Amino acid sequence: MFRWAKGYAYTGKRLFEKTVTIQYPQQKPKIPEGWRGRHYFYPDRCTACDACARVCPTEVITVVSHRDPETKKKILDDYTIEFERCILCGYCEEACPVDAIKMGDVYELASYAREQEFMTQEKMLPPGYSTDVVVHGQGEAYRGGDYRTKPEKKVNH
Amino acid sequence: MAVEQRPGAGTAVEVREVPSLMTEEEQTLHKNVFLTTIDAVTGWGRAHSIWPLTFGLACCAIEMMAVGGAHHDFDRFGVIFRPSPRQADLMIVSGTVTKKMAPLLRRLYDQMPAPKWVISMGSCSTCGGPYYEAYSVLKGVDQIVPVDIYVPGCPPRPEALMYGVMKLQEKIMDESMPDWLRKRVKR
Repeated sequence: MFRWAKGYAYTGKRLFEKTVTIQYPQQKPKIPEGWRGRHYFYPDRCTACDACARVCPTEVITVVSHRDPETKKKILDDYTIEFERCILCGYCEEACPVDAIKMGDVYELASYAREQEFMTQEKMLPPGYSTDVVVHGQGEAYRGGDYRTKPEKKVNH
Repeated sequence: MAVEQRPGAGTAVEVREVPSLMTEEEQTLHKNVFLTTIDAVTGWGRAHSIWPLTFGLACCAIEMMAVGGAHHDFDRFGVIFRPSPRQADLMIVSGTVTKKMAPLLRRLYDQMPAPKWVISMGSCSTCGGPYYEAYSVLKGVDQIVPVDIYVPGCPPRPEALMYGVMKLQEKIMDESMPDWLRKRVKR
C-alpha cells in the first residue's frame, strides 16, 4: 500500500547526493593507469629494429632506417604513425625492447581533416623533450622513395 | 590612396590603390557590421543547440550512449539526441560502415534539413579502421558524406567525442552565412 512512499524516499535520498557528472572542459577525468592513449615516441632510444611495425595489426607504423656501413648498425631515419587507422591496442609498446614507444594519456585528438591525424615525430614527442632529438633522415631510404604514400594493396572490392 | 610620380611621365600623376593591411575578412566586417552580427548570433544559436542524429553502428555507439548518460551529460552542450533525421542537424557516424549500410547513410544524410554537419567517430568510420582491407567495409565515410570532424580512437573516450563536439562548435561559430541562404539572397 505504501510502496509509492518507498520510491519517493529513495528519490529524495538521491536528490541531495553529490552529482556524478564530470564537468568535462573545466574538470578533466581521472585516467586510470594502463589506459592507452596516443603514443609517445622517444627518438633517442629507438634502435630501428622494426618490431613495432611488424607486430602492428593495422600496419600504421612506418620505420625508415639505413645501415651504417662501418658499424653495421641500423640508424633511424624517420618514424611515422597513420593515427587515423590506429586502434590503440598497445602491441607496439609490448614489442619494443628498448621502450622507445609508449602509450600515453592523450585523448583530445579530434581534427578537421584526416591529414592532421598523421603523427610525425614532432607530434609524438613526450613532455619535457625538445625537438632537437627528432631524427631528420640522412639515409638512402629516407631520400629515395616516397614512403609516406604506401602503394595501394590489391583488395577485391 | 597614395600619389606617386613616375620618372619620365612628366606632370602626369598616377593614382594607385595601396593594398590594405587588413585581411579580407576584416574588410568585409567593416562593410557589413550588421550582417556579421547576425552571423555571430545565428552561429552562437546553432553551435549551442546541436541535435545529433544517432547513427550507432558498432562499439563506438556504446561510448556515444555513455556521453548521453548522467556521468558525462551531453545536455550541458545543448546536444540532445534525436531519433529522426528530420529533426537533426548533426550526424555522429559511430561505427563500421559496411557497403550495404552506405546508401542508407547517404539517404539519411540527405533527409536532414539544410545546416547540417557530420562527425566521423572512431577509426572505422574515418578510414575503415581494423577492417581497412575488408571487401565489405567502406574505407571512410568521407567517400559518401562531407565530414567536418574526425575523432580518432577505437573507440574514442567519451571525453574525446565531447572534445570533437566542442571543436565543431568552434567551427560553427566561425561560419558565416551558409551556402543555401547565400543562394537565396542572390536570387
